[in-house]
Amino acid sequence: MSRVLNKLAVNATRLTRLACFGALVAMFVAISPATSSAQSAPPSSGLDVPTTKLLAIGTFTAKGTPDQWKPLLPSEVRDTVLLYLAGKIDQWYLKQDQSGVVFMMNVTDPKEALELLGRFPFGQAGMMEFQIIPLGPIAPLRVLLTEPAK
Amino acid sequence: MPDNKNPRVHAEILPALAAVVVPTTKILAIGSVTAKGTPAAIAPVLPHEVRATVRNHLAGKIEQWFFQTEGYGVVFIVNATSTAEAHELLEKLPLGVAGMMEFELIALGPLAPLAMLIGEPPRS
Repeated sequence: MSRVLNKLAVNATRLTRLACFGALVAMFVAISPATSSAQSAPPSSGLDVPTTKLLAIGTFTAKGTPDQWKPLLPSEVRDTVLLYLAGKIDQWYLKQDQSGVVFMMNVTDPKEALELLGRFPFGQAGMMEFQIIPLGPIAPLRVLLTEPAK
Repeated sequence: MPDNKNPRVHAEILPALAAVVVPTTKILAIGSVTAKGTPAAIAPVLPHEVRATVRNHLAGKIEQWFFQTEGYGVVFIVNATSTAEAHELLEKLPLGVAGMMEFELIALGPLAPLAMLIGEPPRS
């Protein structure tokens, strides 16, 4: 929990982060046993789940015009398949608005993912950028564990 | 054709890939808590939200579900063929009804550039 709070403190200037923090507290309170305050509950009883996957959303930059990326596409595809065969890319999709790709990655460190994806031809040429969203098990499911089945 | 405008798009890249047409098979739904989603507001709704989400999973609609371990939102991969279909599904979730969670929807399809690897097999 303190790790979480530290992370949030760094980003606390953003209103959305504050809103998210509020939601975290709310979920935490809702999930914790209704005995005492949320602060006294062990961290593991809240929304503290491990990062197990990374969502990588790749989007063409302004440099990534068709004239520029077309010659590199065959190499890009091969590198993508190689990363899949290495077990790093779990799922791959094309965004239907043609703006780029979405990968679900078997990687837990965003730096590693950016480093791997940055080696691709599009990344090397500055034509595609990836947004990384760390993901874990759907933590609020824990709510269902607080009421035993009757 | 895209059925929503992706705010992350910086370049006009439509024509070149248009030659390879793939169907929309999944919708990526990135859920974030809105400013209305205060702790006091969310707490009583959450048990209903979780149950509605599980029901959608059991119905085969929400295929994959994840928690954002740094952003405190959710990510779903939804079995829908348009963002409109996914929107209709997700807006009925209790937090959505209450205006406390919003979803960014991204239509996905098979990785079309893989088509480049399909040539005639080499002759032996």
